Amino acid sequence: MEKVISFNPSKCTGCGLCEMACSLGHESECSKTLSRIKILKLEDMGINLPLACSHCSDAPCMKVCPTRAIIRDSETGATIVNEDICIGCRACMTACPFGALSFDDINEKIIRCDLCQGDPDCVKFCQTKAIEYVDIRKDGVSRRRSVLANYTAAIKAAEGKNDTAKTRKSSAKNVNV
Amino acid sequence: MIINNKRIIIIGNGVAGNSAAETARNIDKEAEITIISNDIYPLYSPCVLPHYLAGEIDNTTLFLKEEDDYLRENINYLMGKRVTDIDVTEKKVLFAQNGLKYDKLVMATGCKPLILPIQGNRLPGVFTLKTVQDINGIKNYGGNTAVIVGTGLVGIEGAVALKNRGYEVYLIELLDRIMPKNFNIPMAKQIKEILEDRDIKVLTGERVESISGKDRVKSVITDKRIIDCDVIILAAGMRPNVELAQKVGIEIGITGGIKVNKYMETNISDIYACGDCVESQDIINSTYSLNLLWGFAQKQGEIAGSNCTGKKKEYYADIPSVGTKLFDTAIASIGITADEDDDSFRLIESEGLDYSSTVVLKDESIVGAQMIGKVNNIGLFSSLIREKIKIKDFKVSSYKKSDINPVLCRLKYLL
Ligand SMILES: Cc1cc2nc3c(=O)[nH]c(=O)nc-3n(C[C@H](O)[C@H](O)[C@H](O)COP(=O)(O)OP(=O)(O)OC[C@H]3O[C@@H](n4cnc5c(N)ncnc54)[C@H](O)[C@@H]3O)c2cc1C
Repeated sequence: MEKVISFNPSKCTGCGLCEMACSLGHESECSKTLSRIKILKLEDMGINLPLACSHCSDAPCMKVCPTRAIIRDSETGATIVNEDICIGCRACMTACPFGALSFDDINEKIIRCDLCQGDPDCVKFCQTKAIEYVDIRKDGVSRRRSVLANYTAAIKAAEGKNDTAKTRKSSAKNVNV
Repeated sequence: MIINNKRIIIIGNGVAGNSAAETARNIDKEAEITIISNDIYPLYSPCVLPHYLAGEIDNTTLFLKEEDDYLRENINYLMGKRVTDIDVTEKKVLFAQNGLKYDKLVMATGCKPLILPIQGNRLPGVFTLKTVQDINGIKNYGGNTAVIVGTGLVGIEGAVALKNRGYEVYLIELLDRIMPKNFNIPMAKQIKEILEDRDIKVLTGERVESISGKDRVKSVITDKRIIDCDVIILAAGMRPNVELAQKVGIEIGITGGIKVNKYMETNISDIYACGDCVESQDIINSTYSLNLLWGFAQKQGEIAGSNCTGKKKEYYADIPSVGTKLFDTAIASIGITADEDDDSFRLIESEGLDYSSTVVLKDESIVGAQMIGKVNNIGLFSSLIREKIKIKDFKVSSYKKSDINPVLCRLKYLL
């Protein structure tokens, strides 16, 4: 069963442990800039928004990659980079509609979520279960579409919670990242 | 509906041709799929050629496919064959005294560099930058001083590559700025400075008039000076390869590219076209233009390949974007580049220690963006341009919190 990382902003405390776990797991050092997952803190709205590759079904990064270095992992469905042929041109970064890819300036390679071969570290380290690894919704919607829709739903839910207790019941859906 | 047992012929072994062939194969396991190309290599990406020229990659990683890959995909590849004619009534392509029948034909003939019509343009030492052969030619030729004519993406990347190879490099541009298609004057000026910092001599507003030399290049003569050099690279633009199409009555648009509809069909039935040889619609102005980019070719190839099998798929206009790295600095541009003196656009400029960016607005909607230094976020603009988002939609005050999506949230912090 294909799974996606799902994120619920209303549970995220913004502690950043996921970022550290991610960077430590992939790069053996604790560095926010080397993390594949990023928490965007919208201070004026009181929301913590996660950002990582959605592994889009019809992934724009795969299409623009001039060396076809981005391939889909047949096991996890993740879009992963073959670092041996990546030339560091950043075309994928330019194409990603989420701005979810970062660049490792030292090694001149793109860095992106690889779903940790199906056992994501960020999920393991999240204390509040704001990040979960769940089965992809089987409604035929592309990964990217479901990410956007769910983000909005979850933000609405989080907003409601802040505003009044009454709206708390509103659909607090998970968000696929 | 998939109609089986078809003969699909694709002319051209670039990314457009290959993505058409691969897509058709994925949908239809039975069809006979043949790529015919005058290329003598398996698929490779022209985008990496500057890196190959600079010596950053060698010919072990240059190719995206090996000959075995075609066999594995069950795609016939007739290498080194130029198609000279098409019999559209008999549905037959003609090459080197051979004829091959097709049920569906895909023109994926790409483009070729413009050879400036000036004296000396064929002298040894004059090169273009399009194929592996071109690069091998430059590498074998040697020399110490190189002049690059034209400052589009290809010219700029070529200049950086030759500098990295140890050449003394001159870049000549006819217009008032470099990368005129992608950056406005203030941004282009910064790019020029990045190049000049590395000792590349950038000459703008200068016209190349002729090339002198007896049996090899000796110098370039412009309207302002004479530059002694060993190597000249003509990078003053590309033109679609449409001679064959034109010959058989396929309609060509005013831009010089083959005219296709949203199914990538030409005016002749059962003939499709995709990639650098076609013109495509601009999402912002709805006008047609040449978008000679990898992503466009890949996507259009998929559409053509799918439609060939009978599985209907539509092509949606894309937004042109380019990005590259000049030594240590990344640059990127997407959508429309507005001229400063054009009142119909408004520019939002921002600058920090290690970056500058310009966002282009028309009627208060985002239509383009240019970035130097930090380019991570340029992709966000493709969503905004596509959805014609008004700038006021993400001003904090008029912002309806419940309507936000992550892309807009991030943008709010960028502008
Ligand atoms: C130096 C350089 C750098 C670039 N950098 C970038 C970049 O960073 N980003 C980006 O998006 N794009 C870039 N591009 C553009 C990108 O490479 C092209 O858009 C893309 O490769 C086009 O692919 P295509 O399949 O349409 O055409 P091509 O790759 O040109 O393939 C066309 C094929 O058709 C064959 N052919 C033509 N006529 C015939 C005939 N009559 N019979 C048989 N065969 C024929 C040709 O031999 C060729 O093999 C770059 C291009 C160059 C040259």
